[in-house]
Formats: sequence, C-alpha cells, structure tokens
Amino acid sequence: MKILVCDDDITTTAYLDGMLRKMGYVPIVCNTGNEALLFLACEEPPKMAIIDWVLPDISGIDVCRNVRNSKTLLSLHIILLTSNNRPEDLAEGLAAGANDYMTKPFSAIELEARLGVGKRIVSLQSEVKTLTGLLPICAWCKKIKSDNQSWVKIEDYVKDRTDASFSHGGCPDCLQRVRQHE
Amino acid sequence: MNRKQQTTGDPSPIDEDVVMHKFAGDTGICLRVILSFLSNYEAQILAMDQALAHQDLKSLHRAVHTIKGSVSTFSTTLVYKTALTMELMLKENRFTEATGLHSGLKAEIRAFAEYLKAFQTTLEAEAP
Repeated sequence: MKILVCDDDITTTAYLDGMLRKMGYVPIVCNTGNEALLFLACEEPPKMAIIDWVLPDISGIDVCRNVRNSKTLLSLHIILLTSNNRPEDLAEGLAAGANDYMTKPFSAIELEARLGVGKRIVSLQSEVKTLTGLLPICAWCKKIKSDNQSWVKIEDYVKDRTDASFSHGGCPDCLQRVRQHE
Repeated sequence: MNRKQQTTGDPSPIDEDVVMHKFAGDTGICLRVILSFLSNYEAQILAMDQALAHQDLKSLHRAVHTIKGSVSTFSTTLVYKTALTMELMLKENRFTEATGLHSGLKAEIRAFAEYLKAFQTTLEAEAP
C-alpha cells in the first residue's frame, strides 16, 4: 500500500521512509504542502498520508482542508504529525480533516499501530464503496458480477459484504402469478 | 554494559538502547537516518542564523521547530529541550530571550552531531 509522507525535515522523512518500507508499505516522500497536494491529485493517489503540521508553504492543516474539499480524496486516511499535544491543537487538526495524529517524537511501535488502524479503515471504506458504487447486474437472472469477476446471487453478494441476512417470502405480484400458473 | 557506555564511557545525550528500540533494532535504517541528520544539521544551523540576522521571527521559529523535530528522532534530552524552550519563547514573541539561547543551542547541536558520529562508528563496526 502506498503512503504519502510529507515533512520538510529530512531526518524525519528518512526515518519514516525506512520504517514504512520495513513494515511493507511503499512510501512516497515530499517536503512541502503543495507537493503533497500534487501527489494526491494523481490518477491513483495513495490511500494513506502522514503529514506534518508545520510545513514551509501551506500548513498540514491546510493540506487536510484541501483534501476534504476534494470529492475524490474524501476517503484518504490522514495522520497528522505534530509536536503540539495541547487538546485544542489536536481538536483543530481533527476538525480540519485529519483522521488521526501522532505526536513527535513517536516510536516504531506507535507508528505501526496507527498505520494498522488506518489500513483497517481504508479496507472497510473500500468495502462500503463496492456497495454504494455501480454494480453490474444481469438483466435476466439478477446475479451480480463480483470483484473476482464471477456472477453471484444478489443475496449472497449482499450477505458477504454486510451484516444483513435474508428471509424468503413472496411479494403479492409474484404470489398471484404463481397461483395463476397453478 | 549498555551501548551508551560502550561508545564513549561518558554520560551521553542519547540512550542508544532507546534509540535502537525506536528503530525496531534495525541498524541499517538507523545508520541511514544518522547520515541524513549529519548531512543536514549545518544547513539547519545556517537557516537559524540567517533568520536571526534578518530578525525574521517566523523563519527563526520554523528553523528551531525543524531542528527540534530532527533531534527528536534520536533524543528528547538536552538539545531537544533547549530547542523546545526557544521555540516556545518565539511563539510567545519573547524574541530577546529566545535569541539568548541561540549560541547555546548551536553548540549543543554540534556536540550532539559529534556524538552521533561516534554512535555511527559503533553501529558500523557492529554491522554484519
């Protein structure tokens, strides 16, 4: 999974780059807020970002606000890096659109744990997207084309992706048709 | 004997065991990050000097903040604390007091860099 890392301090980016690679992620490193927005505007943007609060051009907070104004980046999971640990600062960061925050200095254990949370949320969001997006449905049998390209019954498709379960019954129109048939 | 004692025998600005824990025991990553710090700290000091020479409070605040962030990758003791104090003073527009810490902070950063160089040598000697 690609992760955007934005910090103007090269010691911090070197640390994040090394640790993220070790954890199996693919870091994309930049040093300014505007660079971050450029990377996020690409065709396949990263699904997670670690952004420092204090940047040389626009602040990490401004990057968060920009991202939340973009429909295509609504689901980007942003971890804001900050050395401010006052509750007011954290509230401001989260209100601006960050999903989580890490206070500098942070350890590899904390980094891995917070990325794990982010990964879980990104994965859940992608499931939700499947249910809210355009679903290819067979015009005759009403089966749905699933992610692995196989056709599955609509109730199985929904059951696999939600907590819903189905009880079988008959609607008045179908019941009438069946009776006429008999 | 811990790593700190192995390197210098003196009280050090960092606890090397804590640092290695932070790097999840990965000597290679730790060495790369030390190199990043060593290749950059003089530029950070220069940025601080220039901001001070131009009485540019905003740039000075940012330079000190960046130094604090760099150092915190390894330690939250002496240099970190001085940078934090200076940053807070600048945030509160206590420019004169903050500039009083400038020379001391520079000396501490350079001493810290020397310590990291020694640590780098120790790690390189240990590397397979």
